[in-house]
Amino acid sequence: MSPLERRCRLLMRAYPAAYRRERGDEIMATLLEATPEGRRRPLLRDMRALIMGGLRARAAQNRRFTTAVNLRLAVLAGLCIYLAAIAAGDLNDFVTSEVDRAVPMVGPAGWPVLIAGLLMGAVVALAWLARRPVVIGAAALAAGAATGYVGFPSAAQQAAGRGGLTSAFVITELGCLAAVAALTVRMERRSPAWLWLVGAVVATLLLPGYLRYIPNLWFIWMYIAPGMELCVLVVAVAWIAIDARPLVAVATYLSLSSVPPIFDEIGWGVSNWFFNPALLIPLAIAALAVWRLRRQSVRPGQAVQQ
Amino acid sequence: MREPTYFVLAALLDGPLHGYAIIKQAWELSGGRIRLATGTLYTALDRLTDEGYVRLVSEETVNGRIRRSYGLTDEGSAALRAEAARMADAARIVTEANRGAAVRPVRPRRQVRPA
Repeated sequence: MSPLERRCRLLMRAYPAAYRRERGDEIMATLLEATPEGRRRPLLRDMRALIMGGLRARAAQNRRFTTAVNLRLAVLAGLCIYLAAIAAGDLNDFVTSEVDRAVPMVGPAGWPVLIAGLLMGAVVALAWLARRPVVIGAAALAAGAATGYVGFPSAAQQAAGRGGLTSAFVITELGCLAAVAALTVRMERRSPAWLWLVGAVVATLLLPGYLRYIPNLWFIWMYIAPGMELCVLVVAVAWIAIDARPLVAVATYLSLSSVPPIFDEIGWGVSNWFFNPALLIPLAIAALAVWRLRRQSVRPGQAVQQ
Repeated sequence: MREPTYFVLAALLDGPLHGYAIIKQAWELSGGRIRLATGTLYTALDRLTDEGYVRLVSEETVNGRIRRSYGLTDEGSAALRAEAARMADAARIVTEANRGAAVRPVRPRRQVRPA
C-alpha cells in the first residue's frame, strides 16, 4: 500500500463504518485517480471535502431513526457508562486492596467486589453485543451480586471494619440494571460502536488514578482527572452539530452520578433535591441535547429502520 | 441549484459516467472553473440519488476496486433543463441587445467634507 493510499484510508475514517463498507472502495478509487501522480498525500481540498463529507454522512445516519429510538440508544449508553464506571471502580478497589494492602479501604473489598465488578462489566458489554435474554440474565445476576455482596457487608467485612455502600448507591445500581434490561427489550439493533464512548469515559475516570503510582507524577492526577472528564464533555458538546446522542448519554451519566450523593444528603438533611446544581446542570444539558436530537431524527411515519 | 450540482448533472447529459469521469467532465464543461473534490462529488451524488435526479446504472470491478457509473433520471434531466432555462432568463436581462449599450457605468460621487 502506497503512502498516498494509506493516508486516503485514514481520511476515509471520517465516514461511518457502514458507509465505508458500501462505498469506501469506490471513493478510494476516485480519490487515487483524481490525485496528481507523484504526490504522497491527497490535495488539501480533497482532504477537507472528505472530512466534511464524512461528517455529513455521520449526521445523515441518525436521520434513519425516530427521536424515540435515538433517545433509547443514548440513554442506554448513559446507563452503561454509569455501570461501567461502577464496575471499573469495583475492579480498581479489588486491585488496590490486593496489591496495596497498606491502603485502608472505606468500602467493601476482596473477591465479592471482584465478582460484582466483573458481572457489572459483563452487563455493559452484553447490552450491545448479546441477545435480549442473555442481557436480562446477566443484569439479574449483577443485581444479585450488587445487593448480596456489595450492598450489605458480610459479618467478616464488618469485623474487619469495612462497611458496605450506602443503600442509595445500591438502589441506583439496581435501577440502572433494570433500565438496561428494559431498554434492550425494546431495541432490535444496538451498535457495538457505542462501547467506544463507554470506554472513553471510563478511561478518563480510571487512568488518572493510576498516575499516582508513578514516581514524581503522583500530584498530577488530581489536576488531570477533572481535565479529562471536561474534555469528554467538551467533545460531546462539539459533536452535537453532527450527533446529539453522545451528549445525551454523557448528561445521563452525569445525572445518575449525582443521584446517590443527593439521596444521602437529603437523608442527612443537608441538601434540597430540587435546587442541587450537580443534578440540574446535567439535566439542562440533557434537555438541550434532546431538543437538538429531535431536529436530527426522522418523523415516526418516515423511519427507514426500526 | 448550486453550481457544482448543476455541473454534476450536466456532466451526465451525454450518458452515464463513473466518479472520476464526472469530475473530469465537469471540469471541461465549466472551462476549468469547477474542479470537484472527491468528497464533494460523493456528497452531491448521495443527495441527488435521494432526490431521484441520479441513479446507479452499472457496477464493475476495475483493478480490484468497485467502479460504479451513474446516470441522469428523467426527473434529473427535467430539473437540469429547468435550471438552465432559469439561468438563461436571468442572463438575458443583462445580455439583451441594445440594453447593455444604454446602461452606463455609474461614476462614484466624490464626497465633499465640510471644512
